[in-house]
Amino acid sequence: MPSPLIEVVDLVKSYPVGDSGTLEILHRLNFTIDAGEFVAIMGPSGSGKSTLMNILGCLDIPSGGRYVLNGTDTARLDPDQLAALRNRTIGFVFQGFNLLPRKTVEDNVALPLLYAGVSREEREARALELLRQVGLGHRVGHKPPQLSGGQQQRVAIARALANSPPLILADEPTGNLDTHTSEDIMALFERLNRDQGLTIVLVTHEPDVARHAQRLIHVVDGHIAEDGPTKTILGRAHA
Amino acid sequence: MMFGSLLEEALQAMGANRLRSALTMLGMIIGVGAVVLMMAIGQGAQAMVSEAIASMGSNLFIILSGSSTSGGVRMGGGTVPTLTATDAHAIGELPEIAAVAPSYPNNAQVIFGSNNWTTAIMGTTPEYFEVRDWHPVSGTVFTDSDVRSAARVIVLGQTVVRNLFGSEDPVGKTVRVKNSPFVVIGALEPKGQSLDGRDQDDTAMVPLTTAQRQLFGNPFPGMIRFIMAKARSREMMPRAEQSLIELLRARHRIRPGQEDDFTVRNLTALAQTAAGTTRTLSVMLGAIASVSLLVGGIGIMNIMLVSVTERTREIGIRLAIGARRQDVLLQFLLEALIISLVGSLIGAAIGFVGAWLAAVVGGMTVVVTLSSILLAFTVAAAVGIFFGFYPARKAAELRPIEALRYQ
Ligand SMILES: Nc1ncnc2c1ncn2[C@@H]1O[C@H](COP(=O)(O)OP(=O)(O)OP(=O)(O)O)[C@@H](O)[C@H]1O
Ligand SMILES: [Mg+2]
Repeated sequence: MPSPLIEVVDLVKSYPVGDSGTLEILHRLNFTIDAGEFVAIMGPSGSGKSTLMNILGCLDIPSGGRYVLNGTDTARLDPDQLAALRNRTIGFVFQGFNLLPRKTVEDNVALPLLYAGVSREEREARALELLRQVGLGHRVGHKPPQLSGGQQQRVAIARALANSPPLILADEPTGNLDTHTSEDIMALFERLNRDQGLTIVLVTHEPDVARHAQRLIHVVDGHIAEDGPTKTILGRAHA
Repeated sequence: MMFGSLLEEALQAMGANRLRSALTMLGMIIGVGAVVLMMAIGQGAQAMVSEAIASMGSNLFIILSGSSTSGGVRMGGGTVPTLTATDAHAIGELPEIAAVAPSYPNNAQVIFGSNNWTTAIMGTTPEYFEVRDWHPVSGTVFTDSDVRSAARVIVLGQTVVRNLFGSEDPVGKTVRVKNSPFVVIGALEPKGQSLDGRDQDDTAMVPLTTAQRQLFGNPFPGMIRFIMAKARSREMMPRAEQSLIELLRARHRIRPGQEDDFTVRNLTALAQTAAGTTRTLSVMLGAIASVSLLVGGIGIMNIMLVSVTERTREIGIRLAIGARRQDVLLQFLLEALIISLVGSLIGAAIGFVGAWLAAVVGGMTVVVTLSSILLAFTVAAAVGIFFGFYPARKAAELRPIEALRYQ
């Protein structure tokens, strides 16, 4: 049996509050995600979804428990090794896009390649290819503020794909988009999952968005309330 | 390759905020410009002083007749004639003294053809030229026999030559001084300015006896104005001074407790003092200018800190997509370095132009040395790294999640 892409064991996250106290947000989470899965995470606001995603994305570190990514225990890595992991293994898509507004769309997409040490010509070629792939081949020289929200999120997805990571993490990628644009973005994710075998984990509040995923993890108050096939869980909620 | 990319990132970031980059640079420009200019002026002053010292002659005493104080009334040295040519001769016999020259100067007009020039005419002996390390560029100087015979020969300084003869060779020509004809037998090499700014070349020499008997009728026959004496070495100067004083006191029959009727000045010591003062002045100029360089450096640090804070989100995004700490550190450090190096380049250029203006328009002596240029650049690079490092490290040590969450 191949080891899972993501393995979370007794994961705890707490924040310090006041002078000495701590507030536990995530309580002893346990789950695994295999390569090639498309997982949606849902749950009420403040339940700890973003906190979990930031840990999965190696942007934050857990307070307890283990997070094993692609066979590596992340607790053993120093900040630079974590940076390399974020660069090569993870593509993160944010709700607020997080593009660099002064750089062109092309330079934004090429930035992870720069930190991977790829040459300038290769960077340009790859960025152009990725932008075509997300349907923005004609917007290469634009700057992010000149684009619509949906277009900006496509740029962000292209950037996440730059180093061909096996894992895409998206925290409410459609949160700032209208229904129609959301559908476009989700179709893109679905295609990436189906055609390229990318593992996708995304957080959403929209059942319609979650429906694109095969599996759904329902987080409530820092616990996993439910974990199963999307159809089963959402079907039951509607009933 | 990675370095090149980071350099591009740094340049792009600076280009995005041109006015701010330029203003930050201005601090460096002023700092380095001031250092280069002040060092040029300071070193120029030092060069001028050491040139004047070298032209004066080395290990030199001047003995003036008259005491510095006389019966409670201060008198200028040389006002009462008490020194004689035989005093000078006796001084010359001292073992510490290499050469001695009695001097009897006076102002007079020298006429050649339709040109005339008033200058200080020095009655002296051939040893004068040895004492002053002063050699003729053409012709020769007078001899002891010229002195014995009170010959009407004259040796001219370059300023006198220029004013009377232009570019012609004066040797062999006859000039008139106080209606007496004098044959020009030599022209001296130029010595330039003295420490006190006088033109040392504006002078002429005649044999002592000629000056005393024929030119400036002496009310005290045999008396001279001052004696120049050269010690055998620098180390011997204190002993020589002692011997000089003892000798003259004995010769002038001055009893213990009584005041000297002459004054001895150690010109070389005075010159060293002047050189020391100039050096101190030059160091102070440099130090003051360095303060502006420091202020420029603090300006860089200030702006870089603001920039890091302002760009926290950007740093967060870079970290999120895989920038390592050193990537962020290097990018910000490069920004600081570019600002300080480009600033210092422009500053150095402005400093040079300033120095050139000081020389051409202000008539100052300025010296721009390679070492002052290198110093300016080393300091600029050091300032850039030193003041850029803290903000850059602050940026590099940001935690990705905190940087992303910033405001
Ligand atoms: N840095 C922090 N310090 C203290 N508490 C925090 C911090 N970050 C998040 N929290 C708390 O953790 C809890 C979970 O936050 P999180 O952002 O993970 O919720 P979420 O499930 O993503 O909510 P939403 O659906 O609104 O995005 C919240 O109560 C929040 O206040
Ligand atoms: Mg959230």
